[in-house]
Amino acid sequence: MAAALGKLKKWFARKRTSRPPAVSLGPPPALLERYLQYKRLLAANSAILTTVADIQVKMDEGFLFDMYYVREACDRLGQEVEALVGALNGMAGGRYAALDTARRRVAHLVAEELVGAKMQPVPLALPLAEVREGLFYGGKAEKLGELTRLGLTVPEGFGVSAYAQKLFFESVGLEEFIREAISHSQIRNLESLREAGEAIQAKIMAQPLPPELSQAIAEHLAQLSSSRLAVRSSALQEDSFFSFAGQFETVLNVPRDQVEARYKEVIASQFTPRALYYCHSSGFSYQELAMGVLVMEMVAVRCAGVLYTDDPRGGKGAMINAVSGLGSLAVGGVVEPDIYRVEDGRIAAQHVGEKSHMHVAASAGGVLDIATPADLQGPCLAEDQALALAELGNRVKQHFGVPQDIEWAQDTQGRFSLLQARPLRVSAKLKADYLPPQIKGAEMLLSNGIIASRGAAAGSVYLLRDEALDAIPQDAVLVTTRALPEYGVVVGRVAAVICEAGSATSHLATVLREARIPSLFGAKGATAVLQPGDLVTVDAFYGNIYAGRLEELLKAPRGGDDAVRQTRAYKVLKRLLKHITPLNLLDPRAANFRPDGCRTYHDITRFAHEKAMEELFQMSTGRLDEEGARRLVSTIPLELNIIDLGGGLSPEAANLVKVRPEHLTSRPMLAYWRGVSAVGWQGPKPVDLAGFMSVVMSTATDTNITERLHEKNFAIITHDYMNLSNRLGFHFATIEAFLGAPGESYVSFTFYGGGAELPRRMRRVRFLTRVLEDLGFRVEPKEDSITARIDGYDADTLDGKLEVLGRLMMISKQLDMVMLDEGAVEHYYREFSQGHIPQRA
Amino acid sequence: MGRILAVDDELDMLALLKMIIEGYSDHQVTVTNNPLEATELLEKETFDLILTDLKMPGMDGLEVLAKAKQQDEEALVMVITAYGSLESAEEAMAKGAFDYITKPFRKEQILLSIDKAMRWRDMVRQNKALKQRLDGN
Repeated sequence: MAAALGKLKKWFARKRTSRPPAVSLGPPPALLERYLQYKRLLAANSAILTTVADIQVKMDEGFLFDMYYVREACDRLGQEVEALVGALNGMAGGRYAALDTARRRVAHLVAEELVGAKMQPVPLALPLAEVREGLFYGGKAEKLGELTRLGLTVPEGFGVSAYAQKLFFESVGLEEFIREAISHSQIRNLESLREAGEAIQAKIMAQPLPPELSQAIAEHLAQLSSSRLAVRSSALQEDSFFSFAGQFETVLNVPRDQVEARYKEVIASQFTPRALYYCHSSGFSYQELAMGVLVMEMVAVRCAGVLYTDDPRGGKGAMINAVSGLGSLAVGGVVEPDIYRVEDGRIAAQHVGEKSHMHVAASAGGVLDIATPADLQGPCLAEDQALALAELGNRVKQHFGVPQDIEWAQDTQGRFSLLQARPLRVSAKLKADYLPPQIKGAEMLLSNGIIASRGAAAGSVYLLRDEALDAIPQDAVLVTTRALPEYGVVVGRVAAVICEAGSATSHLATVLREARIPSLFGAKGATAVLQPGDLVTVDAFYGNIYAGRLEELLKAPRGGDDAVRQTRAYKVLKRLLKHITPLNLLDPRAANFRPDGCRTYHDITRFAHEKAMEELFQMSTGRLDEEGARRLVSTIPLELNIIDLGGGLSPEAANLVKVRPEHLTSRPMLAYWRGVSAVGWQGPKPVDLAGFMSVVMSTATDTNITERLHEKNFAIITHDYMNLSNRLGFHFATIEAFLGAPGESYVSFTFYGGGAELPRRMRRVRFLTRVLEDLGFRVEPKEDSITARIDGYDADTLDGKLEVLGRLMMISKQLDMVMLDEGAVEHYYREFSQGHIPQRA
Repeated sequence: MGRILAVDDELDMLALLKMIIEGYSDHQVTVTNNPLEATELLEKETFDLILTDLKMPGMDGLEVLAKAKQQDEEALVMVITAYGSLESAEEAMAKGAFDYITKPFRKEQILLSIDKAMRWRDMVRQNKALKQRLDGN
């Protein structure tokens, strides 16, 4: 006991010797630098989330964009993420080098997606049934491979991979020849490009195939029974919306001994002036034009044509056109084909075309154009045949999930074969997209939401309380007060999300857009207006919430054309998004919240932001000295040293060693100080003897406390930031606040210690926990300490919370001494709630 | 109904433009990804409206604009420009482009712009016809 009293005495003695006032009033460079790095990080954070939101909107809402946009967006993201990680490492003295490793990994994956898959050695040829995506056989062969595996009738055949072409070119030095020819041609002279193309084509035709390729073709040919074959292009870029395919060669009725030559002819057909111009100008490597080739048995054809599973002009039903003989005349307008429109399982319209002539297989090979014999001039298809064909098309459409454009042929036995299937571009009529901003006759509950994720959905309202995310029922409309990233776990369970706060560029909005969950943020009053269990329809096209279920809204298209989704730019961006938008790091307390857990740019951004806040918080925990600090002088006997990093004090205070509250211009500091001064300095609570003795005992024996009692109170401030560490009586608190953009603003709070014995200190912590939870803080109490945090609100709301926190700090000063029992916790909680927390209207 | 020439170096963009314009209006669209081909087409044929990307390798949209104006000083040219390069769009406007649109855009935007251009074309033609009638009288 004597030793303890001695320590206290020593402390009081030390306290009396004050140092001379600081000379320099400028902020300490290290602190300033750390703060500026934080601001850089915030700027990068905001730029990243804005770019991600822009990409998601452009993809989902029917925008037409090109590869230039995709590259530009990826470049911007790459630069900002690099700046973000750099800023975090700047704040933390390079302790997050592992995050930079994660960044490089993601940047590498993004770069790879942008360049396109690198061609790998694959088998030179494969039977159609074994051709799959990713083997570089081209879109046409892959689709037919898929149809074969589905059990649909596709002529027997095999594919030759694009890798085989590469091998061919390399084996005879064609690569070099083509490069030279392209570079010597004059890009602005069509004739020059034409000449270069012809030279390349002649060279290709003149070179022999490498023996292994010849052998592979021969072996696969041996597996086919037909004496005549069709050799067709299957370009890698063909699945891109604007395919080169139409311009490339398809050679029909090829005798077996001419397959090699026709293979070369098909390969050569891609070197058109247009393709060369493209290669020359956009750095589009001719290797990207490498194509697979299909060799298929010829069908003993009676008639052939094209089937659209949907009307390309947006009308109803399937459309079939048919010509006698080979299908090469079915499109192109040379002959008038038969047209059948099939609707709801019946022929809705039929038109028999004139079909004056037709293509047939010539006996020596190739195609003959002949006058159509009289017996073939009637309808190509009987009604039941047209219906059967439409049904076949339906199966293909259902399998691929989008309307199809199918080439078909019917043999002399009446059997149908599929020769090609590709996505059909269907244009919906513009007016069908229109949705009125307000649905007539429907009861509007709220109309003030920001569209965080477009779409519409209906469901029962579920108000989130106590962060009980597990309790959310399936398909509920989740209603929350704010938009926290942790809520991302609800994806897959909820129909829609409504938040009273939050912005469209928040982490949560990004996650919800990715999952296509219609969401409205900033819907003020939602938790009061919407009652649990109410059936509502969320209109995230216009930002409204209606009572009941509105089918009209639920049927509305989300936006975007199927055609846009077929473009190369869209497909590349969709693949890229895998490395950009998913958020795996939802919870900072989870085990994966580490640099090596970051899989995407979004993860890196979330991680860096969270850690930067920690780093910033640490600013006040190091040993601060009074250099650059001014004393805040007020009626409250609280020694507080102010370090202004910029904009925290008015210009009049520039040369003052002592500043007054009216000099404060820091928004969070002003809010906090409002609370502090509203309560004012109240003397110690009346304490019982046991309470007093417990103070003396616990203070004297806790060396941590006695050490820290020497620390001075500091507030590091800027116009929008405050990091205040203070000692009030025998406890320590750090209050940190950033009042900026909604997604960035927060208040965090730590509290530790006290003068009384542990049980009383713990009661005070329970009191604080209850108040803080009422205020919306997430609180983690542990014995006599607390860490708490509130975010997801806008600056105005947090401003109010800070004021209450100021009051709470003053009220709870020395409150531990009177926390005799649980009754006291209840008493002071009620007293504070009624007197100091503004009640919601 | 009008005839439109669309020039863009990106094939997908051309295909989309063609599909959207022909799908949602009665206009016919000729496309080329080669500005050189575009100038050849302008010499041979007449178009009611020319849509051209500004930034293309080999030749830029300003040259397509100049060629179109050289062929017909009343030619309507609408330039398509990437977001963030508005200065070049302004330059094109100064050199006689009728309008510009920034990429990425929604289909509704381009359709409205085309509609506006076509109305303008009709008005100019009517005006001309009326003037000729007046002059003739």
